[in-house]
Amino acid sequence: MSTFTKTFSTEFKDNRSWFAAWIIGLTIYFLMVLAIYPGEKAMADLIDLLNTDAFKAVLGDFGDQSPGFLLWIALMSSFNSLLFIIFSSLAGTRMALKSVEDKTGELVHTFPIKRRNLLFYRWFVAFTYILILLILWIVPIYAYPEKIAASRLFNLFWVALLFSMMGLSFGMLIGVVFGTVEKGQQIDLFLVLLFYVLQIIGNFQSSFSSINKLNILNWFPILEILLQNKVDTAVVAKLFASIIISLLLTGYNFNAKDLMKEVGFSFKLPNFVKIDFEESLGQFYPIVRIFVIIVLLPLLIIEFFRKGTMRVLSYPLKKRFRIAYDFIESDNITLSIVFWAIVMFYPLQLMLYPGDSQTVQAAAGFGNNALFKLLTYNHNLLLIGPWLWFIVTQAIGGHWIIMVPLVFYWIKKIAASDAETRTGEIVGSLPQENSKFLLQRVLAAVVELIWMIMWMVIWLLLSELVVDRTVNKMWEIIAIASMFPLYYFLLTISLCISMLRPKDGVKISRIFILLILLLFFVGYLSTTFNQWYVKGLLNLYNPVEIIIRQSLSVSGYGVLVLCGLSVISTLLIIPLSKRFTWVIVDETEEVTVQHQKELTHQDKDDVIQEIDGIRS
Amino acid sequence: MENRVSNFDGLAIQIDGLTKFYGKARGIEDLSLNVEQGVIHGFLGPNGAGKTTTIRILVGLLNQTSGTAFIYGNTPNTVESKRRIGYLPSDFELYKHHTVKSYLDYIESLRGKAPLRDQLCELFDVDINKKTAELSRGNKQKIAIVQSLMHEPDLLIADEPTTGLDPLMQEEFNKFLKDYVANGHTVFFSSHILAEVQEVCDHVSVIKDGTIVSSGSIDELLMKLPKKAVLRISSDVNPLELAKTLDVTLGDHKQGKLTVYFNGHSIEFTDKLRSIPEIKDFTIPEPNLEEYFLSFYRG
Repeated sequence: MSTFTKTFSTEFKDNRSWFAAWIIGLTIYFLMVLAIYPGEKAMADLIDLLNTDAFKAVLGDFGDQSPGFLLWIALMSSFNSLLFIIFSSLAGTRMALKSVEDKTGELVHTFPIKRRNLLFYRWFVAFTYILILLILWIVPIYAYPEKIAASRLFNLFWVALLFSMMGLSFGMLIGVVFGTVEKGQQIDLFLVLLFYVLQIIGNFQSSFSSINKLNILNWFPILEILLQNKVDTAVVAKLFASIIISLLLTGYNFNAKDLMKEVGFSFKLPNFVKIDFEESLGQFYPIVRIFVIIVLLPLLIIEFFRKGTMRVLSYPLKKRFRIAYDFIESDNITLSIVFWAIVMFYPLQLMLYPGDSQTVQAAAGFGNNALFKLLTYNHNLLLIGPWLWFIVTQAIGGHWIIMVPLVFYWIKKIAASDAETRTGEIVGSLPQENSKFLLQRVLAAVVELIWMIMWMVIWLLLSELVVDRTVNKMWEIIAIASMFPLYYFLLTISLCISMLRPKDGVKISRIFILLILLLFFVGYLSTTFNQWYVKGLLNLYNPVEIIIRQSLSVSGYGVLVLCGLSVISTLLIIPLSKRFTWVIVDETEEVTVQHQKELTHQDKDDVIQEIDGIRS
Repeated sequence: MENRVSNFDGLAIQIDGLTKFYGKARGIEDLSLNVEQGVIHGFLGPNGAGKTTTIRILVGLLNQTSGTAFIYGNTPNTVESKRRIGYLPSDFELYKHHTVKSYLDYIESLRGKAPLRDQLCELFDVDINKKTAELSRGNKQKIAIVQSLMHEPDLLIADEPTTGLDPLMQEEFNKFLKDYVANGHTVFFSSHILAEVQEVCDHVSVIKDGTIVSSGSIDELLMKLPKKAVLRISSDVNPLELAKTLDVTLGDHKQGKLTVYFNGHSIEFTDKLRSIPEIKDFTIPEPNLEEYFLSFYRG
């Protein structure tokens, strides 16, 4: 096997779970887009709804295209440029630096392989995964009963591939400049968010059209490719140039930089090139000022409030509940991601309310759609009011989209991260009961949950203020707040499961939650299995009925039942905490011991052969 | 875990028949060991012998399969025993969202007052304003040392404590340990650096295949070793015959230098050597722990 093949297969296997998680998630989204296609008639209504400046700013201008599957895919794919660039740039940053962070590079970089080549091999691994994702995106569209011309899909595919390659190369460059995966990925996300905001502003304001040309999100013109079957050569040239420049800069920097963790670009200008950066930058000051005022300032103010509100909530914990306080402090990045996800769901969508009549038309189109059945808990909300339909389908009804991944994250962090990251070696020897650690961490999650609910309510009220829908809001607030016992219970019961089986409890508890979610979907989407016991635990919290009936005694007093279950699961944590483990015992130790006792000559030969193979 | 208090009879650590299995794989088996108060007790053994498993049980990170262990008469993995120990692990990470100062504050808030914190930070030249995520292996090790000793524990349990430290810092650490024990504290540590163990430790226990094979003071252990002598002999001398005459075990023979191992008193053996004219010169080096250790592991 050649060096390339060996390194490729090692890196491919090493990164498979990260990529698989992304690919599975995005593929589910792509399939959902196909599954919720409302049909040609409903599309006609939808076009009327979307023919506003506000929607065009977000989706792009789709001209006077006749309604149908092609237009549906074009509109629904409008966000794909965002998804692809996020995925590919995060992948690029990860692939550039993972070996530095997990220290495998300490050995691999001593092999007689050029560092640049190693980087290229990793780039190729990420490229392969991107290729798989794009195939999983395009093939179902091609196979859908309502056909789109193959040439259009082929054009869409290869431009998407180029666009993702650019994201990948750009992500690698960001990675090697900023030195750590965490920092690099934060910068990736920040830049993508920035480009997205600029894109929306650019679509609103014609005076910003020149910015739009430089905006990389516009270098994947999905509407143009699909609707006009046209690929702009200038865009392709820009993509190629970006890929090549990013790769060259990345390769050079990766080769030249001694300490990868040092932030900066290892690049010296030749002596004869003298640039006065201050003077050069001075020319751009007016643009920079406008940019700061219009784009950065609002983001910074919102970010200031985000951090400030969390500080206010967590500060009282600092003295008496130090473990809880520290847990919240360590969650800063996650809280930021969740916060901006809430922003995407609540104000960014709700403030785009198109008005009652257009909402009624749109809702009629989606009437029997599976996703909307789930979001509305199978209620015909239009009978009550289009605004209620809008806030439920765009924000309140999809609570599980944000909260279930967050519960997954909490379970792992509370129950397993100390063992996995080896921070438990020191913390586990401190003279504190395990139950104290666990209960304070649960307390931290409670504070974070309250904080999120608070922001959901704030954004809802602000949006309602903007669109002038400020009457009778109390039950909407109660409905949002009532999600607390559901997610608290899911967290605490999952922790109990995790402690019952220290080896694989986290995995089992996550499967348990996925099953609950799946049963909930089945209960609402199937007419045969729509019994209360199939809809299960998740249906005990039914925000739609709380709002409609203006009462908490819905779903068989579901919220109260959840409160009772939460008390029981919290009490269970105390005795089960004795089984909590601070170190991974079943993997590392066993391997170490078995390595001494049971490693056969054949195993040793294989290892030696593999290393020799890479070295040669 | 329930605390079963034992009468500790001046012992910092009492281990009796301690066994730990990871599924089918053996960690330690029927391990017994006592560590007296006020000494530095070294714990030696090659990789996979069971050192870290024993230490992890003592500090409460693992539960034993069978047998008993007590720290000052308290069961490990209880708040009572953990209050009396400081733990310096061999393989660990620090929380990455902290500065060194905030990390030590955090540990102090959970462990109690830390009277030695400033002294240790100064001694090991710790920059408390640095972020923990930016520290090198050696600097992380210094933080681990500070956190393990800053609350002045009665017993320091350390697993390869000087890993990653430069020789100067190793020397500072060893000096600190000697002073620390002189003030009535106890240290139990594992190490691969045998010269360091010989220099610092009062007592040593050797672990092999999960069980203790030898234990005692360094002098006692070295007394058990066959002594070594290096003889300079003429080229026409037959080493086998000479070994028979001297009643010794043969070692290396290189460039006229013959290594032999003998039992008994050195003075008597020296007289014997002087009486043989074919032996031109000889030396009897001081026995060291490395030879003792290797004699066990090479059989």
